[in-house]
Amino acid sequence: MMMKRKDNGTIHKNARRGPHIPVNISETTDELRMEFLLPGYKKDEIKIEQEDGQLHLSARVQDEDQTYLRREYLKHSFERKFKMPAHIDTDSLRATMKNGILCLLMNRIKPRKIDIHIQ
Amino acid sequence: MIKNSLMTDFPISKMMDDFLNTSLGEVLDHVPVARPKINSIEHEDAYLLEVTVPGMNKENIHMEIVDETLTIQGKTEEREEEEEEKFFRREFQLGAFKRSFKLPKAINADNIEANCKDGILYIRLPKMEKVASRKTIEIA
Repeated sequence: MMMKRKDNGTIHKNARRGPHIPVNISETTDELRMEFLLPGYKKDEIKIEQEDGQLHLSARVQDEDQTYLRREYLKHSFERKFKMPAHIDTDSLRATMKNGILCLLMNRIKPRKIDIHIQ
Repeated sequence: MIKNSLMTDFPISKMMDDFLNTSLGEVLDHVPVARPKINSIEHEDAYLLEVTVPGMNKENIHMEIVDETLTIQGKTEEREEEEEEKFFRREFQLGAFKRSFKLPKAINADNIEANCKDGILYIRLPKMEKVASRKTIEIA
């Protein structure tokens, strides 16, 4: 089954540009799963909104007030949008976060079988 | 080589470069493995390391010191992939990692502390207390 490219790639003009947040998207017969790599982020810093089949993930973080000797990792504000395909029930979205991985699950809408009665 | 002055005897950058970098995870060609990144901060009495370890509990992480060499190893919890699971986008892969580095002498290795939260491993390396090296001698 082909899915159209869901990430329209826009970054909100107020969000700080930074390396993008990696996501894995997979689907089984019952649900769609999206996993985001967010080590160091707390769940209170992350906002998930959905409207009309559009999923909007964002975070606003304060810059660390710390002097680093070496910095390989930077926690930053971000924004990422996804257009969900029609067969996904975005209202069923549930989110969990553990060990820096944010997991979003949404149900697939099962095709409705319509019986035709001939009178 | 470890220099003696307290300011420069903890060459963190050099320490990082000396890491033995063995990744034990399976690496797909086009998918980046979520390799641990390390930040280091200097406080007055200790150095702090922040290591990104997404997907790991403290039970999956092992740290040990042998002969002044600190080794950190970790393995992510495997999530069972269902048979019919199809991936449409795969921008990261979790795996196992192992990194070792030699601790400079200025660290009090007996009091190293570590804790793990939200996918970050915080390691505190207390500095060896500087013994006063100045004495005044009274002349009788």
